[in-house]
Amino acid sequence: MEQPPRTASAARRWTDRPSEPPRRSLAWVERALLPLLLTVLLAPLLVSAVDRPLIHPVLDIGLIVLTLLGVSFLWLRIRAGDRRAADERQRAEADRDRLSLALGRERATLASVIASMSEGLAILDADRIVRYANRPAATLLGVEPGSSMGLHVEEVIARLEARLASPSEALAAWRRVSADPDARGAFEVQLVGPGPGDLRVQIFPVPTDDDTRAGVGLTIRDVTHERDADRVKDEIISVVNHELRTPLASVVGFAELLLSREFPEEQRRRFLTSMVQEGLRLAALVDDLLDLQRLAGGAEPFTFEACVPRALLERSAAAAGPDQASPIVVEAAADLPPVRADASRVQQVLSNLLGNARKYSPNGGEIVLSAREVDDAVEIAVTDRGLGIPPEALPRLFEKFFRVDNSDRREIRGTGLGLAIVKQIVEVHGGRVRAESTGLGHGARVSFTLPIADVPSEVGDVLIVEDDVVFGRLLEVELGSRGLTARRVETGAAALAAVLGAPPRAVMLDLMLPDTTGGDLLHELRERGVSIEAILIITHRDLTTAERSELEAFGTTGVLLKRPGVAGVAADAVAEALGTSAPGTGRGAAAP
Amino acid sequence: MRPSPPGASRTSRKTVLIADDEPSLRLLVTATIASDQIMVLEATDGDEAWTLIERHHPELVLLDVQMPGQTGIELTRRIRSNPGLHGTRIVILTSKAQAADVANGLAAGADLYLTKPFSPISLLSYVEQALGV
Repeated sequence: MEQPPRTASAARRWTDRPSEPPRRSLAWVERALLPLLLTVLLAPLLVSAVDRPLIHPVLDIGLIVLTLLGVSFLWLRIRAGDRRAADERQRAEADRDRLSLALGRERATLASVIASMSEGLAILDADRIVRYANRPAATLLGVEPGSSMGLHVEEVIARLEARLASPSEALAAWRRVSADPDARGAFEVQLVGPGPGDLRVQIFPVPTDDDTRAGVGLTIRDVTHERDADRVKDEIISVVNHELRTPLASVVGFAELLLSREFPEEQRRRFLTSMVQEGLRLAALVDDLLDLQRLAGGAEPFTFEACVPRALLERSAAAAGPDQASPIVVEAAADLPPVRADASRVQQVLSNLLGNARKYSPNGGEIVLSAREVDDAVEIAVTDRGLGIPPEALPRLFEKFFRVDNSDRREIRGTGLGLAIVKQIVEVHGGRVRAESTGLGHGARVSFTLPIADVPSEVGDVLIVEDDVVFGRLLEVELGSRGLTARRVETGAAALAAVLGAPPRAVMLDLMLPDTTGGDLLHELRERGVSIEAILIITHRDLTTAERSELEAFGTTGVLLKRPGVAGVAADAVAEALGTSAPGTGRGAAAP
Repeated sequence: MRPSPPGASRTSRKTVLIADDEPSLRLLVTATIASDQIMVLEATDGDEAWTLIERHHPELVLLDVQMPGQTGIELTRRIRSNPGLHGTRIVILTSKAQAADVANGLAAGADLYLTKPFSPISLLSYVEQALGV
């Protein structure tokens, strides 16, 4: 079980490097040699001075002076050598002090880094006894800091029995990984109870004094979030797999059956109907999946405009179509504040909710589509009298692929993605979704909020209602060059909000809008008693006489066909109708 | 319980059960294997399936895995651990197609593991051979 301590011997080699030769020894040689040399040279002179009478006093004095000079020189050399040695000693001591101070500081930093890292760290000695464990290690394992110190690692695992989902697996995993001579492996353990659910333990060798047996370090990381994300992904893949294969089985199966045998006409029709239904179900699922994917990835930009809630509701009710058994009743005050919304996306949300309301009202019943002001938002709700939602299903209702499972709704089809799409769209708007039901058989109420919009108090001279951004911009420029200010909106609901907020003098109107037609918008404006000086229609196609006369009944100024150069002509027409023109520059007047 | 086709109660007639929460799939299986010699019972969830199995002792059962109530795997284990149901042929008919799922189904005691989409003609051949009709 023990690993060869490769790194331990490496460390030893480093500390055994021969140390540098001590520089001080050179100074001692110098100091010993010089006095010896001088003594040898001066001794005969001194002896001769004592023995003989004075030969020449000047010469003798010279000799004595020389001797004295020699001695003082010698003395000075010795002193200087001592000073140098002392200096060197001092310097070395200072170096040592500095080094140990730096080492101390470094050690303190390292200790605080280890203690404050988010990963757990534990060091085991060669006998697998815990010698060090930082605080996170204890926290992640849910034990008292310091409580594992001095224990064998297997004893620590045994003590964690109540925390581990499978103590025997954890022990086996540790034994497997630590038996590996590399000591570089990792394993994961699942915990139960509060705190982290999944821990990843990575081991690494730690050098010790003993050459043959290394210690082991462990890092412990909380991987609960990663594993949760993996589990959700797996779950979705498994559900998508099921949802795709099931209709496919019917389509392929019935086709093969019809090819293999003759069936009576009635049965044949039943099979073919089933194939069509299942094929459509497959297509709906693919649509919903892609829609959800695009929404989640932010690939589809939203166009937010100030929209009149009542207009949004009425259009959605109309789009859902009539149904004798479950008629839709719109309940919304006309003077609700405009909301900041992408009208076509809100239509999608409402179409989904109204569809659900009808689907889950197999016995019919009125469906109420309502809007009311709440705080700084408008709440839109769809209330039905259908099967209702069991309380335990309410929290999961907006999850992908969640479907309420009980026998009375088993035959009701759906992809399980509709409400997930609703939630996504509402959240991109900055709103919230909510589902309520007093229980099975009592119907349901699904609602969402949309933030109240800031409507500019000044619309300008002309409101351009046009969802073609480039053409809309062109119109703005042409109007601007004729001294007219303009603002552009893209949908009928936004046009209504803009007109009701501050009526413009003129409207330029595209007949085909994302959420409505120009005719319906004019109808609505007339119903609300809005008067506008000039209404210019711009259309993609030639209109029939009946269509023209219907538009004229709303008091339109003119109808222009969309083609190159029409922007200038349109701007001229509006300027003329408003009587404010700067005469047409003729730039755009070439076409219609 | 929906016996089909109705009528005809000869003693030699074999009984097969299909348990699946998808109506179109039950229709497909029934249309494929129901005949003068084979009567097909339909169950819309796992619990209904168990009731029908206990009552009718079908010679062969076709079980979906993911359905409300007991799963097809749970039903398989229950059938195998019930001596009274000894000899029941079990076919798992599911969209769970991973190798681990297949191994799991066979380990539980299934005789055949079919993944959707499947060939109704192959299923018919297997059923006829297994029942000796």
